[in-house]
Amino acid sequence: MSKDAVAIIYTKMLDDDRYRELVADDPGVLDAWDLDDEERAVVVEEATAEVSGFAIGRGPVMGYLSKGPLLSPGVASSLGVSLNHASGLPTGSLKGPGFASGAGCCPWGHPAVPNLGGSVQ
Amino acid sequence: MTEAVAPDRAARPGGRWSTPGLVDELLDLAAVERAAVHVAMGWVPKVPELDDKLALAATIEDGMVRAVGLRQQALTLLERDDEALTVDPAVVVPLRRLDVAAAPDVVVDGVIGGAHRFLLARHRALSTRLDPLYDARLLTVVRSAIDALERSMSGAGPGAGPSPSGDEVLAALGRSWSTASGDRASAVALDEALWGPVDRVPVPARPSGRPRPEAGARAHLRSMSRLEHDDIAGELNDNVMAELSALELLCRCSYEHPELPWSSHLALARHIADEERHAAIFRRLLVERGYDEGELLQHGANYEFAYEFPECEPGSAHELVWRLLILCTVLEALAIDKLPVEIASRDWLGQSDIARFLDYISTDELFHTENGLRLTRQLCEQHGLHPMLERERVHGRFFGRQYAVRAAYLQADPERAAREIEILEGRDPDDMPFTSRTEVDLRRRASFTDEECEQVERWGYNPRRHPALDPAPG
Repeated sequence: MSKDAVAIIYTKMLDDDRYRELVADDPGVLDAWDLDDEERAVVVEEATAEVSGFAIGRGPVMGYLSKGPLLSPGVASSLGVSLNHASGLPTGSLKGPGFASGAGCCPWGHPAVPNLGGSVQ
Repeated sequence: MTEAVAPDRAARPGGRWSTPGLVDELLDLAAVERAAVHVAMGWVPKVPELDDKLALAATIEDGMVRAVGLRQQALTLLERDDEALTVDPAVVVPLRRLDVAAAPDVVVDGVIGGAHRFLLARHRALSTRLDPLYDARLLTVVRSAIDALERSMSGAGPGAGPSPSGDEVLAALGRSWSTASGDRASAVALDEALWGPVDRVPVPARPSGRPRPEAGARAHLRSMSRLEHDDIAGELNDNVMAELSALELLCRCSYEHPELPWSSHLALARHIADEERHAAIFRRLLVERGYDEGELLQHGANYEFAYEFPECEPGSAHELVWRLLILCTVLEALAIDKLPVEIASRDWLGQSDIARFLDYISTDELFHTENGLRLTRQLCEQHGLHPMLERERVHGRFFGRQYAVRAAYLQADPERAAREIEILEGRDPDDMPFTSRTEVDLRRRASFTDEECEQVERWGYNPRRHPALDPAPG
């Protein structure tokens, strides 16, 4: 459970920068969670780190989460959504004018074509 | 009483088994078979001509099956001692040279006209020395190999006929084999006889001279009835491109990670064979309907979007997991949801040939998805990754790329964008009365969990919700 708790706190920090700042400025807010010392340390370290772009998701929390048992599926999925949102990436099918919700989803969705040999970042 | 020392069984007159040096010969043959598959895996995306590309891809599953069969027979004779699975690395040196230095046509000729001819001769020679009762199971493997290699050599397809490149590889393999046999002083573990990737291939090769869509254009935009020639040709052709992309990405997944267990390579090889066959059938449908694929658009979109990611170290297990997650557990799993609609539409319109083929594909997608789930779950467990989290992240990166290229295309030409938006948001040209849903029952049969079904449901690709996703009332 406490590993899930770390992931949930990290998800909250990704979703709400004010919460991340709160954790950084006043780690006492973490007392409400059932964290051990190592977990508390990685969360605080994550909260104080300046990360953006591709570095999002490469901090101490993700390193901690890579050890031990799997996260609960719902917690893992929510964290993925928040990481994508924080990175400016889609969190669902592409929608809006010029897109179709099924676009590029499979051979029958017909993808948008990338630049030949160009950057596809 | 002192126990007598048992005589060395290997020193028995005539050798321990029916044929002198039998185990070493099996292992060396397995190494050559495996190395030929390895070269083919690495080169499939680099071969531009589609006939050549598919001919090379068609060698992969049979070769891997032969390699696994020979390895298993050797392991049996070694009383399951994995550490005794050793080979003389010299036997694969000609194939390593082929991988490093060759051009596409040389590789196709080298694998099919060279390595396969060599292997056919070796298997035939071995079969004459085996005992029909002692070696009955091994004979089954060897005879099956002879049959498969004879089929590979007998056609008029690429690489099957005599060629200087094939002759050169054949001769080099023969020289290596004769110098390698006997002395095992330089033997290495069978798995170490393979070599790591010699390159990265971010863009797959396609035939020169064929048109390519503008970046950001949809690979096929339905602006007319599914019964119109242009729509059928565009649809079938884009499906060829999708199958090629899947085939090529899977090949590189195997080639760039020779450290994977043989069972994983075999599973990838089976999947590759399906994609090769699917591409061949879509091309046959094009021919049967009289379309010239040389005039149709070509691309490698799904391969290019899924080959590498800024979040993953190039060549890492993380990158491999992302490739397999997006291809097998997102794109092909969405095909499980979308195919029932496609099949119903084609049957509704009387296009039975297309509907029948899609039915066949649909059954294969269950294996592809199940295979991808199994491989990625194993890899995630080994490398401390969470499948749900990683699938979410790679989904975002893959479609983020599509979003970026599509948005730039739409902004570049507002009039063109308006025309396409009108098409995309207009009525279906055939008023098809079918819509997709997350096919929970099918996905469960492919080992998707209910949480994973909810994940795809949340992405919003399917307009109808499957009732199994809602709790029963009361």
